[in-house]
Amino acid sequence: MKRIHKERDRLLRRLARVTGFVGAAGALVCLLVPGAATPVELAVGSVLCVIVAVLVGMHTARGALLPALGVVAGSMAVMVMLGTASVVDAATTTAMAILGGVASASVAIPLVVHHRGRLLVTALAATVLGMIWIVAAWSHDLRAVAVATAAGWAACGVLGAWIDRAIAHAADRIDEVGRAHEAERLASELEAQQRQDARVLHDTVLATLSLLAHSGVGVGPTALRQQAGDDARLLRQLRLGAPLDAGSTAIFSPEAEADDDALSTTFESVRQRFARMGLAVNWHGAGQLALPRETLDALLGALGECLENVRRHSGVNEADVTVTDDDRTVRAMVTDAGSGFEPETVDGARLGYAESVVGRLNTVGGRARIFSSPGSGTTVMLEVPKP
Amino acid sequence: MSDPAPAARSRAEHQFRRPARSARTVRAAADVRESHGGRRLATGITIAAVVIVLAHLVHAIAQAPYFLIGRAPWPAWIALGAVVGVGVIARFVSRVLPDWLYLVLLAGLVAPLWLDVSATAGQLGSGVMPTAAAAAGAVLMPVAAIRGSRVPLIAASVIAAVLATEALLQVESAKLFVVPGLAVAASAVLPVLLATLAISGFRRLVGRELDLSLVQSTVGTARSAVGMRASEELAQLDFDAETLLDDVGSGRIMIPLPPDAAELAGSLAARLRVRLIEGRTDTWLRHAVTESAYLSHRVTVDDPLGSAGLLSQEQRDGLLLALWLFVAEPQKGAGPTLRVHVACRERSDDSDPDAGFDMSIDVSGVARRRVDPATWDAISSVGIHNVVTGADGFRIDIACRVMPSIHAGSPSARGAARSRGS
Repeated sequence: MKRIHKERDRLLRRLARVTGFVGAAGALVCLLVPGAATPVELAVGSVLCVIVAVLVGMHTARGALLPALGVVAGSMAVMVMLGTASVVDAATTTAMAILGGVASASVAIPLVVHHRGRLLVTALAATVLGMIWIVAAWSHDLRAVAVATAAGWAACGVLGAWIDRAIAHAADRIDEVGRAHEAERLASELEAQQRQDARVLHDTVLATLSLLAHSGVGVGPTALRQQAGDDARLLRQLRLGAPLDAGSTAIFSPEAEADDDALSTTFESVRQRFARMGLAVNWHGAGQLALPRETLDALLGALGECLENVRRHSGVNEADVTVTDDDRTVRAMVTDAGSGFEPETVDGARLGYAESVVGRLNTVGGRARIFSSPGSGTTVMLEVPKP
Repeated sequence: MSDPAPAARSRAEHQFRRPARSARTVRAAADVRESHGGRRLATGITIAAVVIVLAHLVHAIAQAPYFLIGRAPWPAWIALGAVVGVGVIARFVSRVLPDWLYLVLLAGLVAPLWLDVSATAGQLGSGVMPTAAAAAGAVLMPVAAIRGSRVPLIAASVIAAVLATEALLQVESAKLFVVPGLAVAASAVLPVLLATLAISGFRRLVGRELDLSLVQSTVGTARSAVGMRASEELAQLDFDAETLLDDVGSGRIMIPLPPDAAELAGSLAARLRVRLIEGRTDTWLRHAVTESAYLSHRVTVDDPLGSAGLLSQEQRDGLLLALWLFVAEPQKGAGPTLRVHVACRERSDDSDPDAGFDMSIDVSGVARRRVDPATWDAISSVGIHNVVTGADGFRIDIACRVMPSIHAGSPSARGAARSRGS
C-alpha cells in the first residue's frame, strides 16, 4: 500500500472518530434528558451508546471492518428499541436521528474508499433506512429520522470519496513537482560542479585576488592590471557559457600557444601568469603528455599553488619545473633555490597546502611530497597516475 | 603556503542554511494545495453541503402543516437562496471572490437567520423548528474550503448559538421539543467543523508529502553534493570577482588599491576558496535534512567523512524514508520532543575499508513500539541492523554495505527512471 494511502486513511479515520463520538455522545445526552426515556430504555440505550462509542474508537484506531459493522449494528439496536417503544417522544426521536445520521453514518467516511467501499456503504445505508421503514410501519412517524439518516450517510460518503479523489490528484501533482525539482537540483549541482571544475581558471583568479588584497604591493602595476583584465575576461567567458570541458583528454605541452580566446589550461598560461608577477619559471622535461582532463587540471592547479608559494615565500624570483613520466605516473618537480623551511614546522593540515595541493591531487589519485630545509631551497614533488 | 586565516574564518562563518526554495517550486506547492486536489475537495464538500441543505428543506416542507398563518419560514429560505445565488454567480464570474463581497455575503446570512428565527420563535412546543437558519450553517461548508476555514467556523458557531438560545428560551412551553431544537442548532455547526477538519488535514497531508517529494531529489545526487544554493552563490562570487578584476584591469580602480577594494578582494578570495573546496563531505543526507521543513528541526547528522554519500540509491531511499517515518508520527501531548541523531563511522576493523561503514541512528522521545512498521522495512534496505532499546528511546546500529562499483547519482543512474513517493 502506498504511504499516501495510509495517510489518507488516517485522515478519514480521524474524521470518522470525531463524527462517531459526537453521534454517540449526542444520542446518549438525548436519552439522559429527564422524562425522555423509561428507566429500562435509558439503561439499555446508555450501555449501547457507550458500546457504539468504543466500537468507533476501535474502528478508527486501525480501520478494521468488524467494529465498523458493530457501530452500525449497535446504532440500529438502539433505534429499534426506541422506535418500537409504546411512547416515542421528541427526545427519543432526536436520539434516533442522531444515531442514524451521525453515529452510524460516521463509518461511511473511511469505508467508502475501500475496495468495493461504495457498494458496502450503500448497502449499510440501505439496511439502516430499511430498518427505519419497517419500524415506522409498525408504529410511529419516523420520517424525520429517515431524512436525517439518509442525509448523514450521503454527506459522509461523499466527503470520504471526494477526499480520496482530492488526495489521488494531489499525489500525481506532487510527483510531478518532485520530478521537476529533482531535475532542477541535478542541473544546479552540475553547474556548481562545472564551476568547481574550472580550477585552473579559479587558481589564477584566486592568486590575483590575493595580490589585490595586499593592495598589489610587490608587483608592477601594469602587469597586475593586465592580469586582472585577463582574469575578468576568463570569468566572463565562464559566465557566458564558454565550453569548459572541451574534451576528455587534453594535451599537456609547453609549446602549446596560450589561446587568448579560450580558457587555456596549458603550461604556457601558468608560466605567463607568473612571469607577469615577477617569477621566472624554467621548464624542463617531457614534451607532450596526454592526460585526462581532470588529472591535468589537478596537476596544473597544484603546480600553480606551489609556484605561488615560491613567489611569496622563497625570496627568489626564479623556479624550475621538471616533468618526467614513466609507464604509470607523471611527476612534476617544483624546485627553487630560496630560503627553504623546516617541513615539520609547517602544519600540513593548513588549509592552503592541504586543500589546494594535497586534496586536489588526492581526488585524481595523486600525491605530493615536500623536501626542504632552511637555507637550501625547496623541492615539491607532485605525482599523478597515468590513465 | 598560502595564507589560511581568512579562509578558515570564513569557513566557520559559513553556516549551513536552508535554501529558500525557488519561486517556481513554492508556486507549484501552493498550486497543489489550493487548486489541484484542493478544488476536488471543495467540490466534495459542496456536494455534502447540498445534501444537508436539501435535508433541512425536506424538514421544512414536512413541518408545513404546523406553520401558523403568516409565520412560514419561506421568506428565510428565499433569502438564503438569494445569498447563495449571488455567491455562486460571483464565483463563476470572477475566480477570486473579492473580500468586500465575501463580507457582504457573510453578513447577508443574517437575513435568513433573522427571518427564520422570527418565524419559528415560540412554536417549538408544536414541533416547528428553524430550518433555513440551520441550512445557512451548511452553506458555510464550501466557503471554508474556498476561503479560510476560521471565519466560516466562527459564523457557524454564532448561528448555532442563536438557534440554541432560541430553543432554550422556549423550555417552558416546548418541554421535550427543546432536544430536537438543540439538535438542529448543533447541525448548523457540526458539518462546518468536519469540513474544517477535512481541509486542514488535507493541507497538512499535502504539505508533508510535497516536502518529502522535494527532499527525495537529494537521493539522486553524486557522492558529494554542494546543495541547491551553492551553485547560485558560486556564480555570484564569480561575478563579483569579475567586476572587481574588470575595474582593476580597466583602470577604474587605481593600483595600489584603496583599502576597501583590497578588503573586498581578500574576502572574495576567501569565500571563493571555501566554495571551491567545500562539498567534499557534504552529502545528500545533510542536504535532505537541511532542506526539509520536517526533518531539519528534529534530525541531526554527524558524518565527518561523508560516508552517507557511498550509499546506493536504494539504500538512500530507505534511509530517508525511515527518518521521515520517525518524525512523521504525530506527537501526543507534551511528551519529550522527538530527536533523531544519525552518526556515520568508519568501520573499526580495518580489514577491508571499501566494504562499508557503520551507522547508528539514535531515536529519543518515541517508544519503539510506536514506530510505523514500514520503518523497519525501510531500514532493512540500508543494511543489516540491530536495535538496542534504551530508557528514553532506542538506537539502531546498521552495518552499511557499499557496492564498490555502483555509484549512486552517476550520470547513467540519473537517467534511469525510478519510482518515487511510494
